[in-house]
Amino acid sequence: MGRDWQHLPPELLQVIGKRIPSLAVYIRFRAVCRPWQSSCSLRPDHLPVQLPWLMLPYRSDGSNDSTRRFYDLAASKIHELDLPETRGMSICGSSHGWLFLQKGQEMSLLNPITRATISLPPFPGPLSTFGINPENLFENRDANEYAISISPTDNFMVRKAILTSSAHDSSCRVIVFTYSKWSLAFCKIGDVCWKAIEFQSGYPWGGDFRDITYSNGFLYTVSPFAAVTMYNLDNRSKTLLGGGVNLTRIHLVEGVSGDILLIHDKPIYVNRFLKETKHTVYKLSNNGPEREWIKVIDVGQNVLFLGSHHNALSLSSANLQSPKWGPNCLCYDSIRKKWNPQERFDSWYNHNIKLASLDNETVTDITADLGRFQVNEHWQRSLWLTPSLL
Amino acid sequence: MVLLRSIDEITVEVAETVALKSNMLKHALEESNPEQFIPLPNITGEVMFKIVDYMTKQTEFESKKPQEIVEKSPELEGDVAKAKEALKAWEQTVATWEVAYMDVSMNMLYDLFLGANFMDLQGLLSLCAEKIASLIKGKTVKEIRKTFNIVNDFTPEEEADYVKKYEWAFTD
Repeated sequence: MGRDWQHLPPELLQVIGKRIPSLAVYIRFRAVCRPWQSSCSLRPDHLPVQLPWLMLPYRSDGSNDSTRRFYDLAASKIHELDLPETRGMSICGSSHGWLFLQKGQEMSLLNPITRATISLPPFPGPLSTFGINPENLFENRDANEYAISISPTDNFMVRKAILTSSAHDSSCRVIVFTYSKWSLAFCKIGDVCWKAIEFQSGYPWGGDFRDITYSNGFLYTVSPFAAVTMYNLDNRSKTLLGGGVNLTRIHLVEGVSGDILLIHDKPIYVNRFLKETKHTVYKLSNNGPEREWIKVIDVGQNVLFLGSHHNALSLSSANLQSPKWGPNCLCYDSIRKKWNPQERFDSWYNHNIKLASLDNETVTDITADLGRFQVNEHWQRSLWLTPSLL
Repeated sequence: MVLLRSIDEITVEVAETVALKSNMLKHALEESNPEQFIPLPNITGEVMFKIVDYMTKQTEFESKKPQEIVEKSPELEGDVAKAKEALKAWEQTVATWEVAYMDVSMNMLYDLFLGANFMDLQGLLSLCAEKIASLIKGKTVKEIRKTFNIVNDFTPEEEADYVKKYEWAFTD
């Protein structure tokens, strides 16, 4: 006599569901029959962080097409997702499975897997900051919540957006790093306005930070010469840590055990033709008050993913269940440009995904060429996204 | 010794130390008269023997588990390495036995899964769940239904909606 697998007790179906680490398999598991679907949540909390997808570049203006293409590293194929929410929007960043969308002052989050959206306060807000000295506004403990004003010449495009946790956590904060004079700001989901963290009066393009990252309750920023500032968003304090590496093409990422890592990328030109990129990784030392950047060739369990313009993330190779993925390797969107004397401002680039081993410096192609694109305001750049149901 | 009796009235005797692996038996023993048998109303004799097999072997493995040496002094470094090797070898032995143990029919897998749940044997429950998950991974929805003898009880619209929403997960 056959057994009734269909009507297993819900708690036992959950025990099985929890043993499925792959997002795609979990989604198929819920499609088998009604009892299996209703026993297992659409917001499971057991799924580990998935191997990321690379959102491929697309021409973002003058087009009604909303098909977005993603290269799925786990399935080794391209998925096409219809995302009308992204029409006319710039996708400025990706964090915890959410894409950060911006159009002028309008900002929101989109989860491309669930199509959930969360709206964020307009940046900046409608009020101006009368009577508050913008130089020390973050540490001004008397300042209540206030909104930020802009001048018409300010460029408030977001360079990077970070979620401090999953968007559905009540403690989640969204941190933005912008080209505006108000270069750093944050809010909690549901807030009516952004709270400024830093105001950069010296530079028209939003200050001399190069990148930001978040780890264990602190926001970290890095400036040229790789000086690090650490911010505590709860008690509104900031600390300048050491620094000392004279580099500019730098990307910060939080390592899997909370370390702060800095990836330096160096484009390699051969006969004026961008052929390849070489990467060096540094770790912020933990000892003593004078922190410094130490070059590392072993990032332990980390598998690093590097996209363009500050898009970087790290996963633990222990969770990836495949010897292909590390440990101690860096997966990146590798761009190449053929030199064409006719092109000046509208160069075409080609790209593919490569995997570099940090200990022996070997580089392998993960994909074939993924197509060509441009780097200008008409094109949406590529971004790594960790697909998630949360 | 503890006496267990299956639903088809087959009895088996197990040592108390072995029986205590099951939280359900542990509580039953605290309450009942040690002379009497403990009934297992949901479990047939064949499954009962298979479960007792698991509990007995686990008890045996536990007793043979190599000690870990935590000393950090340099003289003991060789011993620490040896202890690590021994532990690894033991883990390998257990893993190999578990794979062979779980090589069962679909019906037995089902009965073991429910039996492990009834007897509150977390180790066996995990093994079964892992095995079931491995039978799901890599299959299409149709193939999963076939393996587990499941009837599609979604309406065509419900199924189409769900598949469309997560289309990328269903393409082969």
